[in-house]
Amino acid sequence: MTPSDRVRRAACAAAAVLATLGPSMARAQSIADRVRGASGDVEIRFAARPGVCGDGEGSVNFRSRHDTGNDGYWHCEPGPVRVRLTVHDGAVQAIHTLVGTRHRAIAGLTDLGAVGDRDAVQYFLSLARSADVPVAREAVTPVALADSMTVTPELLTLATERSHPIEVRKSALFWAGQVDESDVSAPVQRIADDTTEDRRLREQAVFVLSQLPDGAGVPGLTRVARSSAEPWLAAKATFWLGQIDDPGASQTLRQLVTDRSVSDEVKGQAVFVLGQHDSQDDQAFLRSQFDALGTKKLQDRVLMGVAQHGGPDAKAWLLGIVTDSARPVEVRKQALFWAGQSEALKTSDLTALYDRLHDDAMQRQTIFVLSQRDDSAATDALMRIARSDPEHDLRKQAMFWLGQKNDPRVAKFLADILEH
Amino acid sequence: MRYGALMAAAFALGAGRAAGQSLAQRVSSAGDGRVQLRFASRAGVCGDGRSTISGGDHNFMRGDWSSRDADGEWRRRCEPGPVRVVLRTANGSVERLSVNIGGNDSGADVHDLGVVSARDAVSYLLDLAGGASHRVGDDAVLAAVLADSITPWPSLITLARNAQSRDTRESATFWLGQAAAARVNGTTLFGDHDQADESDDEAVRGEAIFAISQQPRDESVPVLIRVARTNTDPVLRRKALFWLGQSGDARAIDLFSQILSGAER
Repeated sequence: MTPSDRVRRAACAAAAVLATLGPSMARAQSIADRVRGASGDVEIRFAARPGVCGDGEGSVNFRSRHDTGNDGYWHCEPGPVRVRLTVHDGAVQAIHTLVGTRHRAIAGLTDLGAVGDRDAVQYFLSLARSADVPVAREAVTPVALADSMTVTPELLTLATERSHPIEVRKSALFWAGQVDESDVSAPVQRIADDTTEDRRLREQAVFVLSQLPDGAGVPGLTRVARSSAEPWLAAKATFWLGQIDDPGASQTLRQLVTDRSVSDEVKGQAVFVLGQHDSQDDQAFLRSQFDALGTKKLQDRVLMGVAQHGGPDAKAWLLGIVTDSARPVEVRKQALFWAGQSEALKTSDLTALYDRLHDDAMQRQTIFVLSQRDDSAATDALMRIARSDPEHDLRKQAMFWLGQKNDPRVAKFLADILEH
Repeated sequence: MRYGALMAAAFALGAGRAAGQSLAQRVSSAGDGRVQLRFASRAGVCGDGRSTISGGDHNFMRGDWSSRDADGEWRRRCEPGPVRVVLRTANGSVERLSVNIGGNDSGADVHDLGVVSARDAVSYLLDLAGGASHRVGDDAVLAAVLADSITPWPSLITLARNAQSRDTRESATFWLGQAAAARVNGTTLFGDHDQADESDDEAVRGEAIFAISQQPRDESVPVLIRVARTNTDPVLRRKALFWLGQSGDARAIDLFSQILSGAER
């Protein structure tokens, strides 16, 4: 038993004892009755399901039952769940769910004591079905955190009942994926596929698939990304596939990039997420596909991803494009832009590049890229161009960008130009 | 001034009726609604009577501007005067002011004061601008600057320093800068300037003047003032004065005051 488990059990035991010791009159009342009879801020508490912990102040961590590692939340207490409700005229106006015992005292808070997990789940499910947003949406969270109850079926039902506000349905679907009671990938996929369903819920379903433990949602996401007839949904699935640390997901993303039948929207998303990966293989793959990508927009995403990743390979590749006069100048300018925005090229690289480039458009782009840098070396480079470049138009451009710099040396430099 | 004699005659004919009343009183007496007045315009200014005013380096597109105007059609019907001001008043105060050159607003709700003296108009307009909202103040300053044979600079300097609206102060400062630039270049505010081709070196230095104008005021204003005062190139001096006019800085207004009073050339 880990220290965390011991704390959680102690908290559960404490909650049970509190429930036992509660006023007998209160026991006879439902939670709804007790809340309805209260006024102002009230709090109830109940045991949290395994894997749930919090700092008592609002941060809640939900760890999969399959995750046995030390998550570093040493201060994360495994319960109880404490729900604060603001009540006026018998109606709940606000809900705030906390986990743990550490919290600041709140003046005027009425402690309604511990309640049973089952009673709490039923009460908050009822509230989620009957209250207005945001109370209804916030009521879903304590349902998911409560111990000793299987709530997935109820959450999935709530998610698919179209009479409820979309915020409530999205919350229910989210928690159905989080509680990790059973494999929900099939019902979640059905929601994602349902073309009659609210688009916002379908987007949420794709997200939930990406969050399922052990990659359970990857097959579903892959299928949506590859074969959905709706590019917007396929693009969402592609994005979330890119957030999963899974070799199969990366393989799917690469196939999306090379498959000619895939829409540019999906392909663009695949290029984007691969560009965000740290993997050298993914970076090399993107560079290798650059020329085969048909559109400037897709190429631009490769340039951005490679530049942001940085490193010697990225630098060499980007410099190769920038200096390749056989390429369209717009592509070369974009390569220079992204390289300049990242750390792929140092300012000294840019100044050396300026001297090597002999076409006006590329020199202008270098001046612009230098102007976007904050280091003093970039200002030095601009001042050098402004003072001594043989092309007056380039001097003027450097001068213009110097005017936008917040560097005390600039005013002195400009005064010197004007007065000598 | 092509319209000078006509204006003088018109003023002489209309003046008797309004004798003893200031322009402010006449506007006030007209009651709520629209009040139109005209006065002689400065040399070099022309307009199409509704949306365009042009003069020297300045072109103003005001009100409804159509694609037909953009074709340059307005230039063919650009009348050299008079300045025509339409005031919209409500509850005894001026809420809007439109400035045109030429044209006529013959709407049934327009109370036409006819031709007034440029001196009276400038006095009234600058007085109005001092306490007006930015929409009225800005246009009142423009109308005053367009008036013939009047030197509004002393009043504009006061406005640049003290007008209630920041936009009005900026507008006054802008025109002071323009007037100072014309003075140091020996030209007129709305005259045709000889636009000699700028040398490459002048173009670079001109860009440097713009660049320095973008720097913090404490850095830029002293440099621009030095260029405006001492640079041997009139083009650069004019550019420095232009950007000083955009700065709204009190030191710039002091310089304009010195140049326009003849203390500095």
